[in-house]
Amino acid sequence: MTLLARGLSIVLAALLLLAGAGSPALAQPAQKPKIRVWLLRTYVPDANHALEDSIKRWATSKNLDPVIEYFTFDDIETKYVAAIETNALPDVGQLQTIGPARYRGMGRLLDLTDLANELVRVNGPMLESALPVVRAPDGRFHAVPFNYITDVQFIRTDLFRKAGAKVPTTWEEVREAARLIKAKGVMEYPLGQSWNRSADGYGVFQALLYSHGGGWADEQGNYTSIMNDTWRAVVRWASEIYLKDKTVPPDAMSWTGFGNNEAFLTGKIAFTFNGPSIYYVLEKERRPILKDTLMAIKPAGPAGRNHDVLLLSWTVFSSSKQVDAAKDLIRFVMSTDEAKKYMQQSWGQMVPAFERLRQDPYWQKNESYRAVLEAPKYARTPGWPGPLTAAAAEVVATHVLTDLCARVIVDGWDIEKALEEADKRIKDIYANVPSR
Amino acid sequence: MTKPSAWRRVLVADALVGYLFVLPLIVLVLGLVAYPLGNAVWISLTDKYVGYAARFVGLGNYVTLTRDPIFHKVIRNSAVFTLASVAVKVVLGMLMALALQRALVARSFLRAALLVPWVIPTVITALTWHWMFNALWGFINVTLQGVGLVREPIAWLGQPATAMAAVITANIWRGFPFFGVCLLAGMQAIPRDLYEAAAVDGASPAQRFWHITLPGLRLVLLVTTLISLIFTLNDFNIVYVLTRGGPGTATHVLATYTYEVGFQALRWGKAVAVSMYPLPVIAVMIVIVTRYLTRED
Repeated sequence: MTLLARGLSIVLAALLLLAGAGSPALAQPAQKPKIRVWLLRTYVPDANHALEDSIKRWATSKNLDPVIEYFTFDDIETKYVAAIETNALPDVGQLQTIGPARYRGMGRLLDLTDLANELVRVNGPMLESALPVVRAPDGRFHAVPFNYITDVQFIRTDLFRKAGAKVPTTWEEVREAARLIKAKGVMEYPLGQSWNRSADGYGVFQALLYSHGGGWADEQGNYTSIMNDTWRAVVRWASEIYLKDKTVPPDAMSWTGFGNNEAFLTGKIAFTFNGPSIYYVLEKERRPILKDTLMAIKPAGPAGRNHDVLLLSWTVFSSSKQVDAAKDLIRFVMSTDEAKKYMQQSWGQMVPAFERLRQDPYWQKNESYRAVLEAPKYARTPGWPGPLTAAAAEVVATHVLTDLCARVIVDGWDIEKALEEADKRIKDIYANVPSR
Repeated sequence: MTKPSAWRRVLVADALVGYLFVLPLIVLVLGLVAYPLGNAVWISLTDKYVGYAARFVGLGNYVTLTRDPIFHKVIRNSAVFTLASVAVKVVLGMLMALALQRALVARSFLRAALLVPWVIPTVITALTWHWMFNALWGFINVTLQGVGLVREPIAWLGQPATAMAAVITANIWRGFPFFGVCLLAGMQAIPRDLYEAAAVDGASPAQRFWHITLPGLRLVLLVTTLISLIFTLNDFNIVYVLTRGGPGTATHVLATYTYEVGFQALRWGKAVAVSMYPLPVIAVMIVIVTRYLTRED
């Protein structure tokens, strides 16, 4: 047999085998119906595993095959945008804060009002701050709350003590504490605040802005000019920590979402604003600085405590062929027992929006956990004091707020010129977001 | 009278067979090049917003971009990033090729070692450089401060000029082996007797390089540079991982801006228009090279 003939025989045999595998006699048992679920991969693997386990247990009981896919904070919008344009949306998915407002207008989300009411009956009322995220202005729910990932102050109490600084309760005290720590020679760059293209930038800017009573929309959700003294004061605060106080690490403006986590965990800064994922690493790895780390609610401004919000929600997409199963899955993972199991695996990262879950003794572990639990009460959605609209979402998503700071800090523009550019961008967004 | 019609029958049959052979290629070109390109042009002429139907707006997106100050900066950044990167890559690639051609020992090892930057996944390259450029604990600042060359940490990624230099450096590090390998292959195709004759005539190494090597590499250099210009102009990973286009918009380039407008602002019409802007420049480059190659043939 020649080499060629031998090769052809092998290929033929392989093809016959493949054909046999596909024949009815050798066919696999009928496959279970699939249900596609998209989840956020958080920085806390234990929490991710707990939720996945919960979904798998539910699927087994329903004789379904769950297809679980993950996105990260960085590619959540990318994945959904691609899926919308290719008609490849999952049955069930988690959305970030701006998701429901953006996608319900496209007709991609099912009405989940009944399910929302059911969850309220089971777990108690939702926090007021969750409603603008999951409830449309017409009163219908196209998403139901999953959990908040709250942003808090991370304080190195030992360094604060050494400098004689107190835990800031106002934004002015943040600057004072940073200046004091620097002046006392405790740390050259104590404040880890970046105005970058991540939630650590635009989230904190919103907290600063809303606490000063500023906004870019009125109560009806229409654009209002930002050329006013409140905005000037806010941008001055944001830029002077870099340009005047020089209390922020010199390359902080180029940090990615993990930059401040890294700086805090390695002891390079004395305080920053972040979700509890930093605390998770400290607790899980029993880092020595855990005993000197405090999580505290973000500061207040002249207009009180009005902060940004990261609320994850569940939704069912209108393209789903398994609507009842999809709703049942959400009902199961949000049942009191399952929600508590998940909450306790999240190391304080996932804060419930439902009152009965919030009363769990788990949150009384220490002062830091109590702060994390309380923080969502002050959460305000993009576009506050107006409703969360697609236009408000786009202002945040296109980094108008942090580009404004960067114009002053990086490009050396004066505040007035930078505000004019940002104002024009916001006006343009509100004029052009489709309302079809 | 019967002879021409017989010929015609043969010719027609030949032509049909010819078309049949060319058909797969036509289908491929139409399906993989013409349709996506035509579709992209069409989308750029609409107000396509993710999740909504597209409406024709003519050149509206292109006109809007001419008034967009961020887009102006993106164009400037892209030009600086691309031209500076490619220029240095050409020089380093040439040096690499010359060194490898003359290496007397461990030639295979050196070739493999110098190819490493090119075969490492871009994300790993970018993350490594990100760590090296970190102001507080990055390798570069720690070293500079350690040997006493600087007292204060330099914010490599935190200032516009140094951030641009940083992304260019990372891009050069990753891309110069491509030039090195191509130019080395080109050098090996130059007949050795040309060098020997030049040496007998008393030509210095510099003269041999200038009058033999460089003219011999002209085509390789042109094609490699063109390909690298196109790749670098479209580079996304290095800028996105290193700086996200920041600080502010200091390193925002066409690819990162297209991503931001398309996937974060959801404005696909405008995003595609952003990515279409350099197309005429690229088309001109392709035409020039094609003509040049044809003339050489």
